[in-house]
Amino acid sequence: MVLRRTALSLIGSTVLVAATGCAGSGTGGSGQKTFTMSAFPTGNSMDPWKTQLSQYVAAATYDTLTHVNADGTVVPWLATSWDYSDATTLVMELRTDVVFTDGASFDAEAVKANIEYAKSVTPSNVAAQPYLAYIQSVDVVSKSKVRFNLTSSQPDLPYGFSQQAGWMVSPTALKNPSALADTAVGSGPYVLDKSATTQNKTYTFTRNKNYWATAAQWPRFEKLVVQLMTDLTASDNAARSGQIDYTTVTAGTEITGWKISEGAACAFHGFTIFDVEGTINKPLGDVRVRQAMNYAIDREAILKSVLGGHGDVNASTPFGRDSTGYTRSIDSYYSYDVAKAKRLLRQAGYPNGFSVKVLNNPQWDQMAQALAGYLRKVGIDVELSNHGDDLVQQTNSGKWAMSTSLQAVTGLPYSDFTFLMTKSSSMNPLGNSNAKVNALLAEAVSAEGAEQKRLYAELAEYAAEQAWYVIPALSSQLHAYNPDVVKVVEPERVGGPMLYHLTPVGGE
Amino acid sequence: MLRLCLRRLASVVPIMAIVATLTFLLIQLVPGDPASFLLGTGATPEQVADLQATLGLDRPALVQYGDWLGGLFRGDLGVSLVSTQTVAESLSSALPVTVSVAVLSTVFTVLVGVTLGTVAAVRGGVVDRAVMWTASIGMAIPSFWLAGMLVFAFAIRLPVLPATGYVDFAASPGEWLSHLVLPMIAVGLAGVGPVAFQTRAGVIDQLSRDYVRTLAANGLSRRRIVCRHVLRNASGPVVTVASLGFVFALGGVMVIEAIFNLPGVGTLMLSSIRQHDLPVVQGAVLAFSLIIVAVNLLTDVVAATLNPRIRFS
Amino acid sequence: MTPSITALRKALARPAVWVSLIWLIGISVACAMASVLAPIDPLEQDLSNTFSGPSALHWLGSDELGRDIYSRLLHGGGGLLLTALIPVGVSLLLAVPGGLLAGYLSGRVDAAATFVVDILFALPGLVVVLAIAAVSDNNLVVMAVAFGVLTSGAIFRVVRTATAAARELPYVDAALVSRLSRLRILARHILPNVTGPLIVQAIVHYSGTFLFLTSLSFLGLGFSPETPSWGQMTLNAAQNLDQHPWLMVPVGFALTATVLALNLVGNALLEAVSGHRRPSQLPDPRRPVPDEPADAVVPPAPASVLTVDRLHVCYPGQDGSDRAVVRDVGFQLQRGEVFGLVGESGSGKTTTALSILGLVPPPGRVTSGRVLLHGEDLLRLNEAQLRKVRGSRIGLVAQEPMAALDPSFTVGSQLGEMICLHRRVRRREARQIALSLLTRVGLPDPAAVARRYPHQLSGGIAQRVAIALALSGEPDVLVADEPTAALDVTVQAEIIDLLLHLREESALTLLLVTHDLGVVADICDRVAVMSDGRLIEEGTTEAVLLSPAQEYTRTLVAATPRLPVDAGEERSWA
Repeated sequence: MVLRRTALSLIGSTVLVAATGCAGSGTGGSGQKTFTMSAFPTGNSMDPWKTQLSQYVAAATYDTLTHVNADGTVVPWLATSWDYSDATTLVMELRTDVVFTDGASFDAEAVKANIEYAKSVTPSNVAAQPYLAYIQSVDVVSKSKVRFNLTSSQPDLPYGFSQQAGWMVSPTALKNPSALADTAVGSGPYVLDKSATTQNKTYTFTRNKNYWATAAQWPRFEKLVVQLMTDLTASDNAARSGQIDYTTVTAGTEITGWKISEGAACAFHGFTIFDVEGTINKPLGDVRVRQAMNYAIDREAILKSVLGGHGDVNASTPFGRDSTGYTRSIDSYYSYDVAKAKRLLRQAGYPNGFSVKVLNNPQWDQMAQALAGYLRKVGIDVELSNHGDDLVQQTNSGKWAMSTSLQAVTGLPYSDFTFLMTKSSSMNPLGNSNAKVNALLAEAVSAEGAEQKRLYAELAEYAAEQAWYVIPALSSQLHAYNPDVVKVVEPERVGGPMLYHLTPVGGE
Repeated sequence: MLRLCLRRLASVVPIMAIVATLTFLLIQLVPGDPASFLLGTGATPEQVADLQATLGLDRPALVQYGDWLGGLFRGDLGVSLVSTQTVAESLSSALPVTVSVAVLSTVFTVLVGVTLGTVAAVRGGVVDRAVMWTASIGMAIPSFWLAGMLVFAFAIRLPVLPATGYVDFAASPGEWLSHLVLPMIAVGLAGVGPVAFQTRAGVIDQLSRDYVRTLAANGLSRRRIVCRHVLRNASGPVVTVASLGFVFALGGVMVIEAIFNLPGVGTLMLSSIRQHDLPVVQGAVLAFSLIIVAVNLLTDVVAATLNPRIRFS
Repeated sequence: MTPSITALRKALARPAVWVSLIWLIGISVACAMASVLAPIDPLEQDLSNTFSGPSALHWLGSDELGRDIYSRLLHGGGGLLLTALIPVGVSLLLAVPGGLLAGYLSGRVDAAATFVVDILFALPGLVVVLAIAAVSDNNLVVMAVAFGVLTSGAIFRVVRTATAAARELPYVDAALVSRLSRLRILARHILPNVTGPLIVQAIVHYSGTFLFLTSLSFLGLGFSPETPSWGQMTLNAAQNLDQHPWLMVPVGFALTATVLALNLVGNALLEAVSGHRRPSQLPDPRRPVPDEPADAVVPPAPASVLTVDRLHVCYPGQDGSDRAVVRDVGFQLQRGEVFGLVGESGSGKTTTALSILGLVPPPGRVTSGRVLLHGEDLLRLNEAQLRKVRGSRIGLVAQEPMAALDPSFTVGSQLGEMICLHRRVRRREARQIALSLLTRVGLPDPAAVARRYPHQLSGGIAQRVAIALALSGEPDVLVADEPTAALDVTVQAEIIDLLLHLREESALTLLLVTHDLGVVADICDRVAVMSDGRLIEEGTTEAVLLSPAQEYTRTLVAATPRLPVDAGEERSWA
């Protein structure tokens, strides 16, 4: 029952690569000054580096180094400006007027303490790791200036700092991290009200009176309540009966008096082919076979029926409308052509098709079945194997040739391709690496302007051609909200609204 | 009577010990390991092994078991692998919720079931048929479907009851009850059928007994005969069935807790199994088992109270 | 044909039942022949045609992936129906012998078995199932067997409780005394008492298994994602309930109908197996008022307390027509006399006695006649009025004292209840009155008896208690229906003495129903002889017994065994 209805539900933190606003939901309350939202439970602690907290719970009490606007631009927050002195060095200027709730000051030392803690704690926030992995060391240049020394080029780090990799916790509190199990010590817009909070169920926050940002910069509610709910039926019902003001919904949901906001298309959901070398399942090693699979599926139909029509048809590449270098032609790389699919299979030497076992999470059943249905029609016999409980272990085991997956695309192609199609990808148990992809990435990241766009476009087309995935579309998440209580800034780029995009109707 | 209680109480400890051991063993069999889950996909085998060592998961099963048992005797249920909250804390907030639902739904089941069964047995004829059909249909409807319909009818269409959530009894008894009415019905309705059937069968049987004639011959009203005398004699299997209903309710509580967003032990168990949070799973299982054992004990006491023959056997 | 087979046929003839059977057989056959009856591939998707309602192509519509619901329903049912049998079968296999032995043998065996069952109960199903799934690699049969073992406790408890209760029944005691082998006792005497609740529980079990299998689908266990199953269909439907409610209808209907059908058939079986059930002893408030006798009314004699006039009582026969069990019976009781009503079993004497109190067990009913108590016709009273008469003006002492007392209440409590009802006194005073009543019926230690439960009393004491109970309302007339038939010979004499004593002490009028002419000779002043529903002869005891006018009476008297004493001498049992 848990979240089977939407392809975009979060299933733990295991398969989110770059945590974007693809987390959703809020709770709502009655009255203008209190905002109650529903969210999906993830971590269970107030330490944002140890566990991946719900986006909204973390953002309520912890500031991030940067913010991201609705149009996708990264803007200053705790950091006032930044610059890459070279490909592997990022220097940031910081605010000097920020104080944590325990009195500690925010400065370069604090940043260093946070990053070092984040990299050393195990287990850790899985969603933060991909970006943090690039940081080799942090230097304190001055009280308000910090330098990040990177292992290799990563131009999207400032964006990462606006997401799960940028939480700033009081350095004093970090010295005693076990207290963070149920206490939040941040500098953020709200303060946790422990008396009205039940861990992993309900979080109540009150407005931080000593917040350094003005109402103009971030208009806040007096009280923010986040209800964690696993079941979409429960949150629907709570919405309909007026218990909450904001929640994630599935396509087609209607709540009287409420509006629906659609995030940008960022969910990359379908089959991931681990075995592109063909070591486990020989046919998959042949690119013609993989392409045949991509011609066999009717992307429009799947988008419409499984994803509710919310999203954009895609060519099995982690490349969307917002990505640098995007052109329409990429998306139409694969048409729905059963004859061509069969022809390719014949050419590859499999006129009668073949069979393949696919690792599946029962929560993603609908997409898996839809894809399997089309593949069956061209003779590819897909055998779905449900492993809801040990999905991570099975994935890491390297025994599977293919798996159903749900990953997020940020729209920043360097990160997207690196996190998905290189050896350092977390969903790459067989350690595949493609020389051309690597080369193009290296070239593109140091290029600029039109040249960069051209390179990314070439990369996207090559990725489509290599068909490491069988994914019909990039889809978006829907949120429903009560327009009498909250104003929602609908993101034009990636993900769903951030906490600062949900503002009180009538101002603070 | 006292001897009965003591005897049952004495068996609680060995039962719990065996349950705890079996649970520990069974959990070892459940696929998946916490370290992998915590580290996520992309973790190297070395990282997994390291974390396992940190969490103490690489020790032999017997050692881990001994450790846990030792903690149990000290009253220390351990700490969650995922959240750093103690297991005792998680349980102490979750237990009242589940117990509330289970108790209320059992009360509902017994009240409605016994009433329906008795009316069916005494009136017979068309009323009997109607009651049987109602009870049968109630048994056949899946609980989550029923829950959905109840919420639609009473929380959305006619907003008289809240759709989700739980309020502490201490905070507000009225709110506590209003939040539990719909879950109570959703869980309890399925048990009405068996209780009604057993009651009906028992009452029909008792009604043919001679003592009923004696009571009638002495001028007792029908209502008094049935309510005070017949029901008491028919209560044996009914009490058994009711307690079985409670146990089944406890089993099905997970789905209901999800739908109504009740932060009970069922949700805790499900999420901790999914997250491979072993200490919490074991704690939750123990809590569940303790509730069931307590209910069984209560059942026996109630049955013996109502039926003197059991008491003295 | 034995009664139970007749009952079975009757039960099965009810429309609800044979419709249920047709459904159950039909759905099973349909699912078995799914490939013939539903040629559309249940896996065939058509994403351009999702959530369509019923149409020419898709008789029951299509689901979220455009698959044919009708086809999925038929292909997915067989597995569920068959698999659901496994846990029930396993549970029965384990729990029935176990429960029988535990309930019957008690002691250590019972304690050990209960211990094991307690553990089974205390294990959380979810964890066990997950573990079994892992070990068996998602093998559904293994998981079903495991579920059967885990839940066998439910059936065990029901069987054990019923067995323990059945063991207390008098005829089981008798069987034990007559040294029948344990196995035989279990099979022939205890098992029939157990089958009732067992059948109910087994059916509940089967329905519960449906739920379990549905939950398995929820966890993604047991069914491969491709195979259609009702469990999966139910879940998909539930998730789309808001926007596409039709999805729930086909599978919801199939599930509900199947469980419903099972229940109806089960109930029919239950009734059949219960066999020839004795009717309810509860008086029927809606019974029809009997007719007045057709001829002119004969005025009762002045000293007559109770007059029975042209009483007719009928029972409906097997073929539906009425069978008269009491025909045109009439007699009068004078104040303070002991009137005997004699006859063989089946002569209608008990029915006559019961109809005086309006307690003829349904479906029997009084069709015509009058019963006058101090001139008031009891047969014309409604139930509420009659209730006031019962116990306070006419009392009843029944045949089997142990069965006549409520086994769940102490003697004192039952007496107290009656006393409070009739005399409107406080509890404390009632207790005193109860004790004095017990003394009155000749019990030397009334306080001790008052504390006891009926099953702790001997036959004689129980009958005295029953008499005390009947007297608690201070009636003037006492109807005693074979009060000594179930007692030992020596105790019989005591009870007879007691009745006589009471007659003198309280000026009671006694109607004594008996087949024992010796008792009649002992205490009756006048006697009436009944045979085959009719009153054959009536007169003083001496006259009827020593010089019977009717042939039948003569035969009856001659059949009574007697010690060789002189005729006319009063026999003393002292």
